[in-house]
Formats: sequence, C-alpha cells, structure tokens
Amino acid sequence: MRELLFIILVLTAAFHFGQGKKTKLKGTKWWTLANIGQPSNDLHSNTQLYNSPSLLPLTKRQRRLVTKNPGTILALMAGARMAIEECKYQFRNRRWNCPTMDVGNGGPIFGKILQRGCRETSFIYAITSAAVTHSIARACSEGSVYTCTCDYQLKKPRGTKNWEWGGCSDNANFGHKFSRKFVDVLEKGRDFRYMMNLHNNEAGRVHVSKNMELECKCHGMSGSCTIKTCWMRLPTFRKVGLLLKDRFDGASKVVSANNGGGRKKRRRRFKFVPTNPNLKKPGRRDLVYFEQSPTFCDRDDSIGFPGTKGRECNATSIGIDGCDLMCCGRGFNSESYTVRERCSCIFQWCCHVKCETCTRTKIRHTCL
Amino acid sequence: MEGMDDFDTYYDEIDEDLIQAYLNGETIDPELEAFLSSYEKNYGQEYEEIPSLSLLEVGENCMLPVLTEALKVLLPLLALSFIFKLISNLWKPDAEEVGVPRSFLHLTSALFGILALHLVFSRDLVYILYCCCLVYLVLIAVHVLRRQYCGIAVSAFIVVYVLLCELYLVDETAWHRVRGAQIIMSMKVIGLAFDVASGAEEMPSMFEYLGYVLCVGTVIFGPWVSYQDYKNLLCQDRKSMNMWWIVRIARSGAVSLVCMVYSTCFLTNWLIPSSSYRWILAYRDAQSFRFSHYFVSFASETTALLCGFRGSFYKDNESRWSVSKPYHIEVPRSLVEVVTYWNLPMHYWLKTYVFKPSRIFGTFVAVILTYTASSLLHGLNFQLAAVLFSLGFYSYVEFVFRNKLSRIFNACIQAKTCPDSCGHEYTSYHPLVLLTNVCFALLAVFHLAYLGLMFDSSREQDKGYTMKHTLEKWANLDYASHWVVLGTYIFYLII
Repeated sequence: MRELLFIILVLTAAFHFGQGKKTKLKGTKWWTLANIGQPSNDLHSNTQLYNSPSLLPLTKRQRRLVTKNPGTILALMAGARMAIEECKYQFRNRRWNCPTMDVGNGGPIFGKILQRGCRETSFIYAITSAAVTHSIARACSEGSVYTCTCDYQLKKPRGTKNWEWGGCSDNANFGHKFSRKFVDVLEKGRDFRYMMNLHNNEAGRVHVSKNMELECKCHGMSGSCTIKTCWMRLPTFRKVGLLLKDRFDGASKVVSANNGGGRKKRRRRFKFVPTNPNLKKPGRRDLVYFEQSPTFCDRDDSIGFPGTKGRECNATSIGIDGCDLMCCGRGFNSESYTVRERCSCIFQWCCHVKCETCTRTKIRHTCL
Repeated sequence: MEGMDDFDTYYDEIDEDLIQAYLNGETIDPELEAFLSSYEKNYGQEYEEIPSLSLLEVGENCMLPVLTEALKVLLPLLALSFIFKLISNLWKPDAEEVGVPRSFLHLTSALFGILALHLVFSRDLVYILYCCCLVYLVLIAVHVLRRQYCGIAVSAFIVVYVLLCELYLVDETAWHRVRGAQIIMSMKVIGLAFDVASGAEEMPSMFEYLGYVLCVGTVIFGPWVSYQDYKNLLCQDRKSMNMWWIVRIARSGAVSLVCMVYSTCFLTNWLIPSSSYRWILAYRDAQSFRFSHYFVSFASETTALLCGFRGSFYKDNESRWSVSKPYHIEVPRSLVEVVTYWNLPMHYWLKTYVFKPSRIFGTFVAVILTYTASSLLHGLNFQLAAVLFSLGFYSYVEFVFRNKLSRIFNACIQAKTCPDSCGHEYTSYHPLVLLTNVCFALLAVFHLAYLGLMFDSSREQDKGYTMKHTLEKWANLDYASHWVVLGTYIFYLII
C-alpha cells in the first residue's frame, strides 16, 4: 500500500511540476531529477542500476558517499551507461540480449530478471559493479574526483621483472573501494541471493583492478631494446566485458556451503559449493548463480522478457545467433528489403569523390 | 504492483519525508542540496564517447613513471661520465713532468665503461666484453702477421661473432638488449682496425684500446667516435668546462627527455587514437619510433658531451655537434637527407669505411655494399635488413631520379640542397621548384611512415621483430610504398 501511495504522489508531483516549470526554480531542479525515469536519458541507467523506483535514484547512503566525493556522480552516470552498452554488446547474439526496459515509473532497467538467481543475473551484477569501478578509476586519474589521491610508492606488478611501477597506482584501488561502498550497499539481508550478488559484484570489480595493462616501449639504437619504459593503464571496458562474458560462459551453479561457526559480521568471503562436485570451487573472479536460466524462448512476464519473436537471426549460422537456435525451432520469416547505397565511387581529380546510388536487395530473417 | 513488492528492500532507505518536503517546495537538508547542485552543475555537459585518454591521465600515469624509469638509467650514466670528465681534467698534467700516467686515464675510462654497462645490462654485459677482448687478440695477431689486413680481419670477425650470437649463442631477448651497444663497439673496432691497417693510427696499447672501446660516454648509446677523437679528449684542459658546454649538455638532455615522453606517451596514447585511418596509424607508429631514436641520439649526445667529446663526431664542418637532426627528418627534403641526418656519426663511419673504399666498383654497388654493411652491423634481422635495403633502394632511386629531373628542367630539385653556385636556371626560391620540393618531401614522409611503422610497441619489441610481423604490417598497407618506388624507377628509366 505504501508503494502505491508513493507512486501516486510522485505522478501527481511530476504532473504538477511539468506544468508549472517556470514558477519554482527549485521545482525545476527537481524535475530534471524526475526526468531520470524517462528513457533515452543518461541518468536513466542510474535508476535501474540501483533498482530504485523512486524519483531520486540514489539511496541515502549513496547520496552521502557521492556528496563526500564530489565529481563521482558524473562518473557514475557514464559508468551505468557503459555497463548497459557493454551488456547489450556482449549478448547481442544470444536469445537473452540484455533487454532494457523503458519503464516510465522508474522500474528496474534490466527487468525482473534481477530477482532471479540465474547466470544472466550474475552477469548484470558483475558488469554494473565493474563499470562503476572502471569509470570511477578513470575519473580519478583524470583528476575530476578530488578526494582520491595518489601514492607514488614503487610497486611491482605481477609478472614483471626488474620493473617497478612508479605512477599513480591508487586509481584502480579507489575505484574498487568506491564501487564496493556504492554498489554493495544495495544488497541487504542475509539470504543466499545476497551472498551471490555480493560475490558477483566483487568478481566484476576484480576484473577491472587486476587487469591493469602494462604498456612498454623499447628505446635503443636501431630499434634495439637498451632501455624499456613501461607504464600501466586501465583495461578498456570492452576487454573487461569480454572477460566477464568468458566468466559468464563458465559460471558455476552453486549452493551455499554450511559455514560452521563463522559468525563474523560483514564477512565478504562466502562459501559456495558447486552443485556438480566434479567442478572446482568458484574463485574470486568466477561468476556464480543458483538457478537454472529460463530458455528465453517465449515471452516471460515473470522476468519481463519479450521472447525471441521478431528477433533478427542469421540463417547461415549454426551458433546461438543462427535461426534454428534463436527461434527455438519455431521457424523464421524471410523478407527482402531494398537499401539505397552509395556505390562505384570514383575519385575525381582533385579532390572529390563521385558516387552512384545503387539499390540493393537484402534479406532479413526474423523469428516467428 | 506485485513486482514492486520484491523491490521493497531496495528503496526503503529513501527518505520519503524528504521528498515530500521537496515536493512541497520547502527547504531541504544541506546534504541533498549539495548533491543536487553537484548534479546540476554537470548536467549540461554532453556525454559523448570518452576520449581514449585525457591529457592529465597521460601526464600522470605515463609521463611520470616513464620519466622516472628513463632517469634511473640515465642519471648514473651521466654521473659516471661527469666523474670521468673531472678525473681526466683535474688529473691531467698541465706541465708534462707532473703527469699522471696516461694508462691510468685509459683504465679509468674502461672501468667506468664496464660499470655503466653493468648498470644498464647487468649480466648481459659479458657479450660485449667477450667481443671486445677477442677483437683485440685478433687485432694483435693480424697486426703482427699482415698489417694491411687488419681491417678486413676484424670486420670478418665481427660479422661472424654477431651472427653467431644472434643465431645460436645468446638468448634473443638478451641479445636484443645489448645489440645497440654492440653496434657501437663494432663500429669503433672496425674503424680502428682500418685506421691501423692504413697506417693512419699506431697500434694502440691494451689500455688505450680498452679505454677507447669502453669509453663511458659512448659505450651504451653511442655515438660512434673515432680513435682520434678519443685521444683528443684526453688532451683537454679545464677551460673546456665552460658555460657553452653546460648549456649544450642541458639542451641535449632536455630534448632527449621530451622526445622520449612524446614518443611513449603523447603520440601513441593521446594525440592519435588507435581507431584512426591505417595510414595515419602508420605515420604515428613510425613517428613514435623516430622520436624514440631521437631520444637515444640526444641521450648519447649528452653523455658524450659530458665526458668531454667535443665537436668532431662528424667531420664535415656544418652541424658538428649533433648526432641526429630531427628537423631534417621530420620535415625532410629527401630520403637521402633522412638517411644522412638519422645518425650523423654512423653516416660518417659508413661513408669513410665502406662507401669511399668501395666506390671503385661503381656508385650503385657502393650504395648496396654500404647498406649491406649497415644491416650486417645490426645483425641478421629480417625486419632491419628489409627496411635498410628498401631505404637503400629508395634513396638511390630518389637520388638518380631527382638528378635527372634537375638536369632536364635545369632546376634545384635534386635530393640534396643546391649549393649557391649550382648554376641552375631555376633556383630554390622559384615557386614551381618549391612546389616540386614540397611534393618530394611529402613523398618522403609517406615512405618513412611505411618503413617505420613496424617498429611498434607490440610484444615482439623485446626480442626483435619477426619476418611475419614485418610482412603483415606491409601487406596491411598493400606494399604501397614499394610499388610507388618501383613506378618511379621505371619512370626514371623511360625518361
């Protein structure tokens, strides 16, 4: 009942301020925030990222964190968008293609799949927390977050001999810690899902902070390598996405282990046991889940997935993007359509390119 | 509303009272105000694709560590050079009778050189020292038997040694590290041997020899200096440490570091992102390689100046004080000029010890021999050989082609700058001549981008690049530059 009242309140407020935009300055400010719930808005993602159906996308604690660290809000916005784009990219050829919803009232952007405990859920958690880590770390090294500092201690990164990293090493650490405070705060309760989500969040972050790339250049006579100068940089988020997708493919289905007398509060090490006893225990970077994924063939309102009907597929592929698998054997429609393209371009001296316009027929396959 | 219930736990932290207050237009708490203003402040910005790296990020994450690292190698080297300079100055007898024995100075030079080698290469310095000692044995033996064959014998020995090391004896990573120092040393000993053979120099004693070959200012990065230069070095007095000297050193050092940072950080990661057009990328990688070379050249200049070498790296009168001239390479007149200014001491060495003696076989053969010598010096590396031979052919074609054009049009469009007394009808300031020269310059830049792009920062840079790597890079550009040169050559033959 509380929710219902709340929503109504919000809607009336939105309506009210929508009309009287210029009358109250503070009200306008508030309206921009209310806009968050609208699709095609940058802040949109924030709402869904934190699963908050409220107008204000952040919880009290998160707000406090953001206020204490000025400059992070922008990074968070960028990060959230990055997470969604990457998720869509990594899953573009699968049945579940990381659909995001245009929920007017600020519903969860990834849909109700977040309430499940399947592989896809674990990926979403990992990629979003990785994105926050990444974009905060980047903002940090760009100098747009004032509270993160560098220590120029010499450290030896893994796998390097005779080389000490003398640069600002803390950016990734800061990102990691910030993301921990910011993202994990949403997880409440002591149940198994909570443990799983925290584990997957952490896995996402670890992929960012442990994949710093070492870039080196040799200097010497005629390309020899008398001196080698190196530095480290954040991995591209595409790389993080690829790694996480790999982990997604190899994610382990787990059950909770009976952790005997471990009564320490706020412990982050959880014990999972894979359901298949032949598999090794999931490590810090592995994604875990406890529920079998649905087939994602048909419309499923319980997870808010529209099904693969109408999805485009590749008739020649035998993989998951192929029409057989994508359409779950229902068959597919093939329609031809024409496109107008620039073609047979000739470079004319000097200096412009002259092209003809051709119409080409292409075939599009969509699932029934 | 069913679904919403499940999210209950997620939003119970949100202050409904606060929102209510806000909706009513009442004052809000300062925390939220601060949050809103920080949000509002930035809201206007567009969120476009994040650039590959920001300037500040590059500055902090790349420049600092890279500079630290380079200085960690350079500073000890500079310190050693300077101490050697002090010793050679302060202990030098002003009057002949109170002199420190010369051999002491030679020994200091050699010891400091070994120290420097150890600092940079740690255990890998043995390959340099082996070579150094063996060459001296060869030199003595041949000197006693047949003095006039000293040069040939030492050259042959060096070639065999380098090839053996490259192919069988030494681990490729280690060899790739010491190769630069090895080239310098090979040039020194071969030059010395030819001088001894021709009678221009007396056979040096062991101390003299070690002092020269391992001289601290030139043993790591070069430049090549002649034995005569080394002997002059020890005859200087304190007056040589003047203001001009200090300014020169500071300038070279600063330029060297700037080139290094530009090459490592700014060019590849900031100025030109990796998503650019392939020819722009080729230009970028080639330029990065060139600036890395300038770094080494200027660093070598700094150490050489610091330990007292003055002005005769390169014996032609103009530009006596430089190892490399970036300006003439980045904005080239022709490839011939690039080859010259790339490494002036080396150019001089090749000219004196290879090109001039082999000129009796004709210019083309001499050019080929020069480039063969150069690539043998560098070891048997396909990439270097391919680049060097391409460069040799390119510059030959360019030279003869522009010569012919110059004769036909009677204009100053040769590969080398016209002297004032060239007698051409159209001098360098004629607009058409200028235009032609600019076109040739652009062509040279194009060739340079093509030739230099494979010295990139890929994994292979530690061990030396493979043939596959080279051909892949060139195939990616459709061997365009080779075709262009071939076309030019055919055109030259026709006209």
